[in-house]
Amino acid sequence: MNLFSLSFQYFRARPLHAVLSMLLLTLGLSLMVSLLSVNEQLKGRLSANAEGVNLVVGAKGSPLQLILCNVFQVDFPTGNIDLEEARPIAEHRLVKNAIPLALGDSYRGYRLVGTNYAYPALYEAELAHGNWFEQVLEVVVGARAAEQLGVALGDALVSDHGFATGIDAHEAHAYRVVGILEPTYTVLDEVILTGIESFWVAHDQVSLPHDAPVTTEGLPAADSLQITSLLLQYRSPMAAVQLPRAINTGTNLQAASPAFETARLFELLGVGIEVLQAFAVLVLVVAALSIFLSLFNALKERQYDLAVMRAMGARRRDVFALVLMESAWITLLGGVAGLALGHGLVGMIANNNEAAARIGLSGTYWLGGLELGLLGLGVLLGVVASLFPAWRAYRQNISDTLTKGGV
Amino acid sequence: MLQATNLQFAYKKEALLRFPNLQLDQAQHTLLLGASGSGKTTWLHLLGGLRQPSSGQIFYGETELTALKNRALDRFRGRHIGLVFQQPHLITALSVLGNLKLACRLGGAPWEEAFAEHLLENLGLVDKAHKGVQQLSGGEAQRVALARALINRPQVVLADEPTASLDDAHCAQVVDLLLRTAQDHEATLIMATHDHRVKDHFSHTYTL
Repeated sequence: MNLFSLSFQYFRARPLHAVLSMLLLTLGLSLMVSLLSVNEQLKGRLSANAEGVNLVVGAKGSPLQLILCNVFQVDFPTGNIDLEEARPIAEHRLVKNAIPLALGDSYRGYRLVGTNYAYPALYEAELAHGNWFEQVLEVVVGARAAEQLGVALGDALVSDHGFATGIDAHEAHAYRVVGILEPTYTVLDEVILTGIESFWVAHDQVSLPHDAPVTTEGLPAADSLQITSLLLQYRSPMAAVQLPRAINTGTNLQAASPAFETARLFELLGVGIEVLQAFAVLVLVVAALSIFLSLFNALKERQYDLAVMRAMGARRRDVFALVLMESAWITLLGGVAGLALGHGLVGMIANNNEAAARIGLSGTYWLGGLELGLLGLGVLLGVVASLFPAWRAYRQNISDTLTKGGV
Repeated sequence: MLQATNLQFAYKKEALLRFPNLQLDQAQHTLLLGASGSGKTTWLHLLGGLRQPSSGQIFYGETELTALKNRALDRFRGRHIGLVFQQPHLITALSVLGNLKLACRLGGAPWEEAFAEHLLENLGLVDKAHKGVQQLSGGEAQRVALARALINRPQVVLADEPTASLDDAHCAQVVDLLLRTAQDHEATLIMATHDHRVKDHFSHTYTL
């Protein structure tokens, strides 16, 4: 029967009291964890999507929109650009790699992306079934899109123009599913890939036989036609200085940096997250206060216990430690419960919210040392809150307490 | 065995309390008699080292209790002095056995399961050993408090008004139990009370 187990016995003897005192701490920590988790996952997801893309070149308009549309596949295109204009940029000496994208059509809410093999290679995508698209109107479906749409190899898809569903605009040209991708946990999981020529055929801009090959690397040769954008990889750091300005001032095109626009986006989102975090901190402070009050009250009831323990030979610091340890128990268990609840909360959001599921939010995302830090913070709060009650126990005069009579 | 000389104690702003000198031998069970509010409890607390006297000395054998400080005092008290209070003051979060074990641990004495069982048997508590103390009756709780006072085989058991709230029959029973148990375990019982009913049980009486 040492002090450590005694403190746990006290904790166990009044479970309701213990649960009530740790409730606020649990809530505060779960709020904190879920916020940080969502924030981190969102950031991670965004940076994974923008990985390897140094610059996006498209039609003039909002640079944020350009990035959202072409990198994250969420916004509408700013317009189309002529291949004739895009080609000199793709062949620029400072550009290592240029990936053409043709956007604008969708199949039941999932985007069709006209591109070449370099785009899936950007995300290190691999085929789960079938082959890569080689001919006009052949498509390879992203993992999540395939799962949600329930498509299989050999299915025919009739695309919608734009991203609204229900308007079967391209009925004459049905796409054929030739491949399905492994999950990459990037935006690639949500799209349907095809050759750029497929887009032109679907929009009757060119007339090609259905077994005509598509361009699988570089840009298609037809200069009179259009694409939506180019994703660029720089050859040297010098490009970051020269290229955006050269494109924005020297051409009719617009260049935007995913890193810069993502940072800007996060600055906007950041305000909301900071407000919520401040709220979580407030809850934690109130939690500390509630632990303080509950320990303080518990101590009033327990002053005889402590005095008797002192009478039986306990040192002052034993009773001090006892009060501290009991608080540590409450906060440790409350903290663990808080972390669990936080993860549960994120998991619940991920399961019940389509948008959250799309960005791949997961309740089991582990924040690493940060979570242990939060747990430590919780216990620290408890210890600080218990210092005064513990000090009172330390100072307590045994004889006075016992003489008062009482229970 | 126990010797107290010139003990004085003053609460803040209150009159000085002077206590008679004590000279007790081993197994010389003693009654400290005094009216309510006369300072019996203070006296007992001084003897138990729960309070420091303003002046005077207390010796347990060769050890001067009044010279011990802090840790040494706590340790001596835990090891050599058993205390029985007016109320049982058991630790409610623990079982009967848990209370005894805690007393052992806090007093720095080795835990002897057999002795604990022997004690509980003597006090008719064997079947309660693993019960939570909140399930005990008042009498049982008081007997557990007595077992707790004896678990470290103290030289002295100090009992403060253990009979105050009892009727005549129970009063005699409790005093008898205290004396018998102290006798059995070679402890000297010192009982403070205003209860004249118990006078006949003691051969040595000091009056305050």
